[in-house]
Amino acid sequence: MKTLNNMMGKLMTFLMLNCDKATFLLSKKEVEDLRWIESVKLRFHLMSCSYCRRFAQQSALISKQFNSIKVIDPYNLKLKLTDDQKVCIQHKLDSEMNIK
Amino acid sequence: MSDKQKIGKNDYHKLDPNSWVNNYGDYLYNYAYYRVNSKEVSEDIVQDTLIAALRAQNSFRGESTELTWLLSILKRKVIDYFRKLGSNKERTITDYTMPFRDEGIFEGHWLNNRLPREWSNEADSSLHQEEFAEILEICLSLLPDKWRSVFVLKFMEELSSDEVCKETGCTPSNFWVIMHRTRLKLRECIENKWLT
Repeated sequence: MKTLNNMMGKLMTFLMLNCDKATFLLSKKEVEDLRWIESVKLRFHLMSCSYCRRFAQQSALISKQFNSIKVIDPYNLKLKLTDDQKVCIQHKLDSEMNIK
Repeated sequence: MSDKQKIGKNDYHKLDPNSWVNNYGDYLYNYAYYRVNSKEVSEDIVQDTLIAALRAQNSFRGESTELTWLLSILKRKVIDYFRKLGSNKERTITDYTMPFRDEGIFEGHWLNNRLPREWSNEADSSLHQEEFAEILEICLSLLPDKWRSVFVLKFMEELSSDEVCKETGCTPSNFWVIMHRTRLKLRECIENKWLT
């Protein structure tokens, strides 16, 4: 019984992450797949930590927003170059073409 | 013969530099803006891209569309921008402190005065979409240059970690530390702006 307790204790220590490490993995998870053991540890921590669960939710929302602006929809462009800016760029291009 | 049939395969994807500004200017401008987060820089990047494209016309094989080709040049310009920004040592010094306890049995746990508060349910609603987008944009611009460079190249431009480090001069372990701190700082910045 004692050895079993001991083993359980060791397993718990092995699986235990603090919030610093957990948020580190949560940040990594947004750009790369975690290793199997990393996601087990993370899930284990999130079960007992509501603040890191909140961090996870907010971090996912941040990613969602960045993902939505990553791809530009040509039919729904939020920003436009002004006519002046376009003329200015066109002038630069024209003079570049004339050099040739 | 219809017009469509008359156009041979070789006629597809030709370059027409005179139409670039009107046809693709705004698209390229938007693409650059959502990465570099500055209208002035974006305008410069669009201009540099089109000039570089003019000079490189011979390398266009016609296998991709004109826009795809221009975009590939623009993406290179964006990376160049972040390479310069990321290697700017003076402006990468940051006074950010981690929101975790650094000693005691609760080492690594959230500091009481830095505990994440709730705002994401509200921010996620379609009602507040624009407000959230604006705040995120401001918070992104408040990141140290190096962090922003690493974050945007990895997350928005989807470069590999190795490539990001090659461009911005970070080390592999440093890379993940920056990605972590960027998340922490972005999240906290949004929270402070959202709840005040």
